[in-house]
Amino acid sequence: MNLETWIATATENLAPKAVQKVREDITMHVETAVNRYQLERHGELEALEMAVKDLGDAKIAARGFEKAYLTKNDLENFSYDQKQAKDQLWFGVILFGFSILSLKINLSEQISSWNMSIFMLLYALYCISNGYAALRFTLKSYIEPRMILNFLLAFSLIALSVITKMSLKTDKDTNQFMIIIIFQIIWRFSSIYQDYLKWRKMRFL
Amino acid sequence: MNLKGSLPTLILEVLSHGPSHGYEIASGIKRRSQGVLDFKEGTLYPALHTLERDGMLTSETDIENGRTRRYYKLTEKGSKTLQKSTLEWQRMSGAISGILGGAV
Repeated sequence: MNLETWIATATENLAPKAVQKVREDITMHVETAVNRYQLERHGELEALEMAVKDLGDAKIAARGFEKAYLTKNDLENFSYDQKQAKDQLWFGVILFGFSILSLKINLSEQISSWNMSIFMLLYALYCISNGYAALRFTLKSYIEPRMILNFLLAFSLIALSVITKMSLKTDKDTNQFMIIIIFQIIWRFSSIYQDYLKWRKMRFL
Repeated sequence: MNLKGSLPTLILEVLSHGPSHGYEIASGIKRRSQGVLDFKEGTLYPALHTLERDGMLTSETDIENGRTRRYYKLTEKGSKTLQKSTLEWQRMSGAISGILGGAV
């Protein structure tokens, strides 16, 4: 394997900016290694072969780089036009605000007395995570053609926060609701965590 | 010897003696372990870049003998992490030595 192939394999799935940095580092490293081997009286070609061999398996390196940097796949899922998204962010913020408002309306007594039961705490997390998911759908509508569908999904999440609480009448309803929302909260918070990891990678570049 | 998991700590330790570039870091680890800790140099950079992303290191490019080099430098956060990892490692290796030593 020559140096170009090694770099191409190691950076195959990385976002363009990351490829540039990895390429610079690996090229500098190999240049230094070639120089050292030449000082040990190896020929230029042999020195280059040895230096590339010392890098090891490019696929193993690729897995490491993919943990450190944004990948092409991350970009596809996250690369909404930042300026456009920023201009329209108010819409997502309003949706998030509705979610918090529904929480405030439904839990005003509990919030003021700080006497929240587990159910109320779960409901609060549910509203907040629904608001976040609605925000995500709003931003997503700028990177794919299903704009109306995404807005509907965003609205439905907020509506769900309000309607679910209003429709609860018995303890039995509450128990069923708790099971459903626990799964939803875990699911939504896992996507928040994934977004956090991508945001960290994006900030690095 | 497999370095999985301990490479970041070793990188931080090498950099605690001053800024260094990738090749020098790799050579430093191999030399100081007298060749016992041998690893493929391509795995060094993902670890270096992850440490940089996490704020343990900073990097800047410089020109040395007409060659561009990227120097990595330990940050305050990296220094604290190194201290913590070193203590954990000493505790762990002491415990294992105690068990293995007792078995001999």
